[in-house]
Amino acid sequence: MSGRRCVLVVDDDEAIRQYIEWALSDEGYDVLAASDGAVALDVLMRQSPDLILLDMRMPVMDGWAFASAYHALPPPHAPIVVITAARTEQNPAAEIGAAGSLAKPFDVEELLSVAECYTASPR
Amino acid sequence: MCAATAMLALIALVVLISRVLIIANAGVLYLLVVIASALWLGTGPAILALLLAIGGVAYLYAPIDRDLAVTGARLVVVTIAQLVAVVVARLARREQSRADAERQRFQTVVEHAPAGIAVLRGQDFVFELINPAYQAMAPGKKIMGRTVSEAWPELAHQVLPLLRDVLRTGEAYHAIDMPLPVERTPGEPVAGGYFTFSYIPMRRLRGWVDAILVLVVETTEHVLARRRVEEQRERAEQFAAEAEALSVEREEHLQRLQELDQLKDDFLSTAAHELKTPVTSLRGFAQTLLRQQEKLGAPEPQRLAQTLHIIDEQSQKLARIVNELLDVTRIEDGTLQQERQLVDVVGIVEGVAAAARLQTTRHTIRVVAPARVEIFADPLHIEQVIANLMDNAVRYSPDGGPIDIAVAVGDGAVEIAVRDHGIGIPPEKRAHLFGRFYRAHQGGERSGLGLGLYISNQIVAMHGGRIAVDFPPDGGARFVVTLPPGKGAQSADSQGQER
Repeated sequence: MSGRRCVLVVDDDEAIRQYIEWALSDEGYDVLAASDGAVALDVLMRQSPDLILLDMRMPVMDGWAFASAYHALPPPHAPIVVITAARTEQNPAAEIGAAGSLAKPFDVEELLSVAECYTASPR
Repeated sequence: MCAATAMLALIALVVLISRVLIIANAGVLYLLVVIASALWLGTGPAILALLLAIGGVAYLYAPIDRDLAVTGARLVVVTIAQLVAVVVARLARREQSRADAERQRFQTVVEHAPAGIAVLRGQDFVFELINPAYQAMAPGKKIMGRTVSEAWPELAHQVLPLLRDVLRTGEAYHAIDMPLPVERTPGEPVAGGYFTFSYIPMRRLRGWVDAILVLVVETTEHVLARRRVEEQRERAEQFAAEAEALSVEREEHLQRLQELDQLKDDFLSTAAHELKTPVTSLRGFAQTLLRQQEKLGAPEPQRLAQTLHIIDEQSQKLARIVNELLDVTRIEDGTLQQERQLVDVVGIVEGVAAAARLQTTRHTIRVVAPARVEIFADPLHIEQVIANLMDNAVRYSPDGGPIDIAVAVGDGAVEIAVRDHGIGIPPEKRAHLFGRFYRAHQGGERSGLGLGLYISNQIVAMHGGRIAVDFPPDGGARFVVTLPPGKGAQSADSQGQER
């Protein structure tokens, strides 16, 4: 594994994508971004990130559809961390077999510790 | 008496004739007389005829000589006569007892029949026979020997025409559960009852009807019981139908509540998402800038500018969501204030169009309107409605394209139409378009809180207008706001012109 860890952000909100991209790249991560599940799958054809940060509510292809399509691909699979808005949305993480979740509004520290935690663990 | 006279006359005739006959022939004649007497007149007259015959023969052919000597002729005559007398007497008795038994049986049937039986004779319908069951229908009443009109004056007008018909036509009449007024006991008030009865013509040998047999059963209790059962069944059916309707109603109510509950859940989760997303980026951008400042002493100028721009955008988004929520609350509790005045709707439309042109470069926003159209309305609210329709038009045509706003005055109303060429709305989602929290497009940038059209519709309704939507065949959607014109509303140029 090369030294730089790579994170894929899948979120339809442009501002959120920009924020995560800046926050992680400032800490030395390579960041890939996709505006929906279909774009994310396209990115995954070419690159293999160490972690996927996934928003569930997206147009075209939402988080649930993306997760099942992604898990249908041959392994290895990067761990998925779900970005959720409501407390009641804890279950999507379990539904799609995600490694964890990140509840909005999350601050930079939380984001960085999640990225650190899931990219450091051996796959 | 008359029978005996006839028999004596017959014997006398035979005596006269037999004077010119030989004894054997005379004997046969006497025999015939005895047999005839036995058949038609009975045992007693037959014995009398027998004795007279013996006397006659003795007088004619063997004058009484007191010696009672048995001559051949005497012996033959007496023997035959005795035999005939015995046979005839026995036959007559058997016939008699058979007829008696027959009559007895008939009488038993009539007496014990559970139905009322009566025989009415003649043109006046006189009761010639009634059985106890018939009498039981009016226990205290004298019926036998009276006419129908005398016995039943209260129902004569109803039954007499029927009886006369039977008499005239010779055809039986049958009635089932016919209601008739009946005086049960003389002096008591007439009570109604139901009767099933038959009038059967009774014919003489030659075929003409001289009497009518009446068979009658009172069915009052049956009819009433049947009616009660019928009523109860109807009531039960009605009850079942009501229960069914109630359960359907409850089911629908429950379903509505479940739908509302689902809508509420969706709304809360949407609201959380819509509110938390801008808050997350506001915090995130502020924090990343702070971190840069800590690390580098100052944020990169380019990133600072971009961040400020994003913060501005996100705070606007938050403000819009908060305003929508406040509007809904005010609409719900009726505290949405309106400050109506005469305003130029074309000016408002052009203002909204100009603002929209600054937001998007992919869309061509065109306005077709007269120079000035006045309405009596709250200008801020009308601007909000048009801006909402414009915002939707931009949002739901992600690939860009023309957006046309047309203002027209016609038929006592002002019409503002906003037409896009975007993704439109799927037919199954069109019904609830103006409902609260309803979002035709789930997820992503295109979704909102689902309150925009609801608020717009409520505002337009408060102004006495309405919003309609149609979906042109070449795609997109066309929302038309119809508002009443202001007092003395005028348009400087009703043709309208593109600008």
